[in-house]
Amino acid sequence: MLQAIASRLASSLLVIVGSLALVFCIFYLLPGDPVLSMVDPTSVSPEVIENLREQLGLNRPFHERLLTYFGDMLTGDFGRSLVGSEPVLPKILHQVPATLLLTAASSLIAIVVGVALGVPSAVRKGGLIDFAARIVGLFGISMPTFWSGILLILIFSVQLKWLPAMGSDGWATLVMPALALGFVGAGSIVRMVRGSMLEVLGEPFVTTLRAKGLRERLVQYKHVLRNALIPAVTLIGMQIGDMLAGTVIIETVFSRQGVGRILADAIMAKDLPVVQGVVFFTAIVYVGINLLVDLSYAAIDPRIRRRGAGQ
Amino acid sequence: MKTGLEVKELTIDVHTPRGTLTAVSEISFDIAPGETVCLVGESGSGKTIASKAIMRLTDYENGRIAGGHIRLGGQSIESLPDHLVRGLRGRRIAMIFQEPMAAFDPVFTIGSQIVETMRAHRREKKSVLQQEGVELLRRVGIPEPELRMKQYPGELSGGMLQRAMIAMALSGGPELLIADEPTTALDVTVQAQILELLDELKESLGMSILLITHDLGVAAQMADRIVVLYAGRVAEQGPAAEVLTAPRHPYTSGLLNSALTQDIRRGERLRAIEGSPPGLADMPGGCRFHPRCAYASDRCRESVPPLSDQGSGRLAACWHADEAAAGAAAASFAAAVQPEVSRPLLQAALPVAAINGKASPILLEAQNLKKHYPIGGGWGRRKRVIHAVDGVSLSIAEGETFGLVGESGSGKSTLGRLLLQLESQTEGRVLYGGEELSPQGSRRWRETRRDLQIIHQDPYGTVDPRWNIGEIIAEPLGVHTKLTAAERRGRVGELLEQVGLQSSWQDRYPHEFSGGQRQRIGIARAIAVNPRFILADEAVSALDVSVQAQIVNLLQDLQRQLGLTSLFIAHGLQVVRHISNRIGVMYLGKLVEVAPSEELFRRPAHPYTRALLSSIPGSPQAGNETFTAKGEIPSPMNPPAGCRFHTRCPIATDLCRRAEPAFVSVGSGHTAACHYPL
Repeated sequence: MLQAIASRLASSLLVIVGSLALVFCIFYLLPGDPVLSMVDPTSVSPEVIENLREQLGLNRPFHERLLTYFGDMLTGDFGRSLVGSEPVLPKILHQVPATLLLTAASSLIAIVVGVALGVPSAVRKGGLIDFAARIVGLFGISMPTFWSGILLILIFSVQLKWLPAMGSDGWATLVMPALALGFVGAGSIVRMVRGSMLEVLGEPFVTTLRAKGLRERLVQYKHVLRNALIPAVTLIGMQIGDMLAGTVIIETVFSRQGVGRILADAIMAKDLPVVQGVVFFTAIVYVGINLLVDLSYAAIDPRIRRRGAGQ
Repeated sequence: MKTGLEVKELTIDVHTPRGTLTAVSEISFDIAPGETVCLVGESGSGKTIASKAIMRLTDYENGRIAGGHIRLGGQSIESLPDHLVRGLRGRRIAMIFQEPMAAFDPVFTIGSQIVETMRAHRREKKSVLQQEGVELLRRVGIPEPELRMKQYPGELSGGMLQRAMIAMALSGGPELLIADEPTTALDVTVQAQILELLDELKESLGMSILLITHDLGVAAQMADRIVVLYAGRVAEQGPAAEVLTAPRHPYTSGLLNSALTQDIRRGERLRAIEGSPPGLADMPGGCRFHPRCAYASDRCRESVPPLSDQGSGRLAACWHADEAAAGAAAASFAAAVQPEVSRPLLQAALPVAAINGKASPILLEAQNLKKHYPIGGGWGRRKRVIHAVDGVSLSIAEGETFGLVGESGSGKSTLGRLLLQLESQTEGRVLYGGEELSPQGSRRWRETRRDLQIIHQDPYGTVDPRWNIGEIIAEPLGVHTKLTAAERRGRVGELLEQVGLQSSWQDRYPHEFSGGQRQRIGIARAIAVNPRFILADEAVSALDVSVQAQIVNLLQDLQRQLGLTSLFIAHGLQVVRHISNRIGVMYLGKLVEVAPSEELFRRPAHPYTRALLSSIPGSPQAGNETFTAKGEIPSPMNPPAGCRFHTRCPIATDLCRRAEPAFVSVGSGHTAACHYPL
């Protein structure tokens, strides 16, 4: 088992290095000059601009820049923002809790709603709950977050005045962004859990369980759900990743503090060091989620556990 | 007072997208305490749904009890409230199923699933129940029960799982055990062990058993009484011995004639029932068997025959029961007075070479064939090898039918695929007409595809459901011949008639045909390009008994007409005996015995062959304890050293554990790889 985790971690490192290199390349190929977005070329002399390029290392060849970049990163130096010239690392770390909180809250909503609706909708296929579940599924996957976010603001802030429309102080501000973001995940998870439950309900062992005289609740939740979760967990992992990515939009819609917001601003300003810092953070979280997914496989399914241990 | 189970005029409806259909109509039967009753029937007979209805498991499926009574010990089950039915399940009535591998929840340990069953019905400390579970596993003959309790279903073999399933069923101390095809998915030696266990448990615990089976041999061995179901109705019921020896319903005698037993002479045409069992949606009116019945009259077409008393506790639903009984008696008399082995049949039993007086040339030859599949490996894991086929040499003469038998995991299918070079061997050679079959994909290899054809087990899985059968059968013609479209159509028409279908059916799609008809389509495709050799890999194993007999007849006719050479692979020993000139027995990747068909059955030389034969339910040797194989086939990952059978062999010695036996001749054309041939 430990060996399996170690090999996962090794490949995770590759994922992180790869994504950083990719971002670097994209920025290298991108048209436009970051220096020109830092200063106003009409009021600053060309020498100053040239100096700034020299200072930032922008005029050196590609491979040299790439090597320096990874070298700096190994020593923990993520550079400074091109815009505010503050160090990147503290700037991001400061915002991490807010974004993680939002991602966690929306994941929780997505999983709870997904499972709570998915199970009964499979058990009572064609019933009222099944209908509700299919509506959630349909809306969840077809409504973009910025649209459902705005809708929520219109209803709960503008009309009902129950919740604040923006900001990131206190729990009240978390409710609507988490709902908007979680709804998307819930949509896919409901569909997955429902389909996977239906499949497991058709397995012969379910008949055995009933023939043993087990209570239906035990059959459904202890046995069928656990088997049905095996494929669903993969999707849940991917959905959490998507929700993390979704914070870029939702933090902007609700004017929340957060890493996503920083990223949106940094991309607009072509602020490479900041973008790279955020990518680094996102890649780590993503890899972490994947590792958790793999571990939860093993927790749910003994066959994977035993295989992982080399029998 | 216990009165056992009483089923009276039970009718079950099923809801389908096409509306409500009746799966079971007014069936009645009783099971007395301590009695074993067999429900015998083919697919669609309603035997499984009827057995599920007894526990009201139909509530969870699309079935509904539409009429009649089910009583256990006088208590009505059909109208019992849900929570009381649940109290019955697993306690007073328990059930075991066809596929033990699929009948356990794969993510919980065996122990926790057994303990869970007990906790559903009584309050007791977990440690006490745990200990009880261990005792139950020990009771059903599972070695190291403490360890098994902690294992997951995937870690046990099929036979062990079925034993564990029985242990779980016993945990509530049931009055009635329902066993739905409990041994169909198991190997024949394991089947014998499980049946024996069931019988022993019934004796010692005094429970009743309702055994559902399609296998008349199993019914003959186990049943006190037999209930024959056809298309959702009881055709006949009565004491087992009488129903099986003097059937009073034409369907029962048809089934008996279709089933291959040792009494049927090899190569003889089987008296199969025409057609196939009807589907739920197209039940014939009147007597449901009339379209397939030789005795059918207008009366049969118009009105349903009631289940009427035939004397001595027997019931049959037939307007012509007396005629049918007389006909069956005449047929069995005729079979009995025929000379022991007639001359042409004796010849058929010998290799073709012996008949012609000159050696007929070898068509296909395997020389020391090996196929090893590597598995595992990767990051820090040990790489292991499955020895699927491990050094097999055999030759098949032109015009010969070579049968290959063995339990699952013996490597017989892999060997077949190697012979056709559908897979490439790890070691060894395959010679076709004296020439080495070229590597896969080469031009020469593609040309030989025309000569070497295959008939698969699953006739539906091996055709494209979006093609009509004309296209399916014509495809090989398009690859290997230069026929025009019209000529191809003509040829397909011929082929369809040759396999007993109508030439005008070319535009129909596979789903419009029954299982037996689809297998005929598979056969038509295989013979389309006039092959010289056909591999039939479990070609009749998935079919109903009555249909299986038709296909066996068809295969034999075609073989004779077309002069085909073939390799016939099956786990059903009687089928192989019936159709083959010579038989090879495989065990764990090795050929252990080769002999002419009759000879193998009359004088098996290898202890494994002997064990296989004595495991056939209803065979003369059945229940002969001196020659049963112990335990189950070991993993082909690390086969035992020396003779591979020594771990299960009743006469193994030190020599067998050390040295691998070579093939020795024990008779004309009869060889066995054993240190102590019998």
